Amino acid sequence: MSELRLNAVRKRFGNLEVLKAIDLTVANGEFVSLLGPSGCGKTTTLRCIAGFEFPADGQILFDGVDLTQTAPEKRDIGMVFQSYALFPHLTVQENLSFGLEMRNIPEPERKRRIADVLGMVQLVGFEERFPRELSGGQQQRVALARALVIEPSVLLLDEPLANLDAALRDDMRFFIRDLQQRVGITAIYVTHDQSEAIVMSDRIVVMFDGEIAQVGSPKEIHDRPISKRVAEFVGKSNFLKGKVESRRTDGAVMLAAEIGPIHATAPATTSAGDTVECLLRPESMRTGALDGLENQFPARVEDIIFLGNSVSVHLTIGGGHRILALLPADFLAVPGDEVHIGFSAANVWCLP
Amino acid sequence: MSGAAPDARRAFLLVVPALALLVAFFVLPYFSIIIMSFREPATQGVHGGGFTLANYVSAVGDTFILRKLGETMLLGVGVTVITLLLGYPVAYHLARMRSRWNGLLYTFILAPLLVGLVVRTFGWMIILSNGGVANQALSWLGIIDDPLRLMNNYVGVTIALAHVLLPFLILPLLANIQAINPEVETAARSLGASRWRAFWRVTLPLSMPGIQAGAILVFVLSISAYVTPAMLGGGSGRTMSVLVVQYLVENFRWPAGAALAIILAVAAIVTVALFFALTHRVTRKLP
Repeated sequence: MSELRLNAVRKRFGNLEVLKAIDLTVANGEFVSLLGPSGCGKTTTLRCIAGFEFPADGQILFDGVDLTQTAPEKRDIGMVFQSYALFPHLTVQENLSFGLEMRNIPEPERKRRIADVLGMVQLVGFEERFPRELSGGQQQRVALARALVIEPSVLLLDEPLANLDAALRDDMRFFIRDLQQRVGITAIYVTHDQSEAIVMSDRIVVMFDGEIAQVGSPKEIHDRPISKRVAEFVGKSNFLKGKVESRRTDGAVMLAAEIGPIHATAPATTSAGDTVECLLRPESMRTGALDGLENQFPARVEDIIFLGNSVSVHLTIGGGHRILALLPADFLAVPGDEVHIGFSAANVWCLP
Repeated sequence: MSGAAPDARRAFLLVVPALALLVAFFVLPYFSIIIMSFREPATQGVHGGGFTLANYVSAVGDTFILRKLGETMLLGVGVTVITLLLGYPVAYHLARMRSRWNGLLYTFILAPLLVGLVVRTFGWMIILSNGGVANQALSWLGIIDDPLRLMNNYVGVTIALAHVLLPFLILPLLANIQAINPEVETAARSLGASRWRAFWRVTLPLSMPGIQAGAILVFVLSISAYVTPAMLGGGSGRTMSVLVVQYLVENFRWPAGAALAIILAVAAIVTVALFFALTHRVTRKLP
C-alpha cells in the first residue's frame, strides 16, 4: 500500500513526444483511472510506472522513494493485462505461485496465500486447471488474483476488460472495484471507456496528446469538464452558445443564448460580457413535472430511439436548434408532438 | 453422422497424390533396403540366394563401425547444439523486434540455401584448408604459429553443416516464438522475475515445440548429410553416410551397406525418441 507520485514525467519515441511533463499524485488506497483515446499516452504512463518504459525526464516516486530507473521486477507492482497474459503452460495454482516463488516465500505460506486469494476471486476448486480450460471471465479473475497474491504496493490495470463481452464487463467493473476496496490497494486503471472510468474510479485523469487535460472526481469530469474536448469524450453532449449578461458571486449566470435566455453555472474565470459555450448533458433534461427547474422551453419531438432502460430523443427548441435528450423509458410522445422540457441552472455549465 | 462419410472420403482424395509418391519413392525403396540387409553376400551378383543375420552380426561386432556410428551421432548432436545456440537469439530477435533490418536478416539466414551444395563446400575448402583464409587470418593476427587442422576431420564438417542447417532451426523456432503472447514475458517481469528468469521459466518452455521441430530437422539432416562430410571430412571425418556409400558404390557390398544404413536409421530414431522423452516433461502441459 503506498502513495505514488509522478513529477514532470516526459517520454519520447523518436521525434514524437508521447508524454509531455505528466504530474500526478495518487493517494494510498485510491483508485485512479487514466482515460483517453488511443495514442493519448495513458498506456505509456502506466508502462513508465511499471518500469517497462523509462522516462526521458522526471521522477516516479513510490512512497517518496525514487524508482524512475528501477527495473520492473524490483518495483513491487502487480499488473493485469488486456490479454490476461496468464502463463499457458502453468496451472492456476502455478500461475499464482510464480510471483511468490520469485520472492522466495516458503511453500506453506505460498499455499495459504494462494488459497486466500482464490477465495477472494471466487475460484476455489480451479487450482489444477490450465488457463485454456477457463472462460474469459475466469481467466481475468486468475490474472487479478496473480497480481494481488504478491501483495504489491500498487495495482496496475491495462484495459483489463476490453476483451470481455458486454454483460460480463459490467459485472467485472463492480467486482474489480469491490476487490480493490476490500484489499485497500492503490490502483491505477487505464481505459478508453468513459463509463468504465466513471463507475469505478475515485478520480479520473483525462489525457489527450500526451498531456493531462483534467483531473477530478467522476462527477467533476462529467458535469464540470474543463474543455469541449473533455466534455465530448466523457459523454453525450449538447452545446449551447450564448453571451453572459450578468453574473452572481456564487457562479450563477444569466445567459442570452441562441435558444433564448437561460440560467447557467459558470467557473470563476467567466465574467459578464463573455461569449461562452455551455454544456448541457442529455440526461439532465426533464419532461413532465418541471417544478423548480430554472429553464423551461417548449420543444418539438423529432425522433425517438428506444434504448431499453431509457429513450434517446431529438428535439428542436428555440427556433430550430436541435438538442438531444435522454429521458425515462415511459416517455410516451411520438415524433411531431409538442412537449415541455426543463433543466436546472446547475446542469448548464459554461465551459471555461 | 451420415453426411460425414462422403466428406471424409473427399478429404482423403486430397491426400492420395502425396501418399502415392511417398509409397512409391520412400516406403518401397526402404523395404527393399531392409530386405537387402538380410541377404547373403555374393561375389557373382548383388546378393546371394539365402537370408542371413550375418550382415548385422558382423557390423555390430566391428569396433570401427561402432566408433563411426558413435562419432556420427555425436556430430549430429554437436551441430544441433551449435545451431540452437546461434539460432535461438536470431529467431527471438526476428520474432520480437520490428526493425527495417529484418528483411536483410532473413536474406542472410536463407543465404546458405541459395548456393549450390558443391559450390558452397568448395568455398569452405578455400576457407578451412591449411593455407586457407581462416588459417592465414589467424596467423596474421598472431594468434597461431602453426596452421590449425580445420579440414579433413570433424571440425570442418561441423562448421559447414552448422552453417547450412541454421535456417532449418531458425524458421520453425521463429514461427513458434511469434505465436507466444509477448505480454506473458512482461507479466513475469511484473511478478518479480528478472529478464533471465522470465526467459527461463516462461519463454523457453513455451518455445519448446519450436526447439523440438528445429533440432530434429537439423539432427536428422546432419547425420544423413553426404557431400559435406565426403568433401570436408577426409579420412578421419568420415561419417556413417560416407561409409554406406563407400560400401555400396566402391566395394559393391550391397547387403552389408544396407545393414549399415538400417543401423544408422535405427540409431537416429532412438536418439530422436530419447530427445522427445527428455523434452516431454516441458511440452506435455502446452496447449
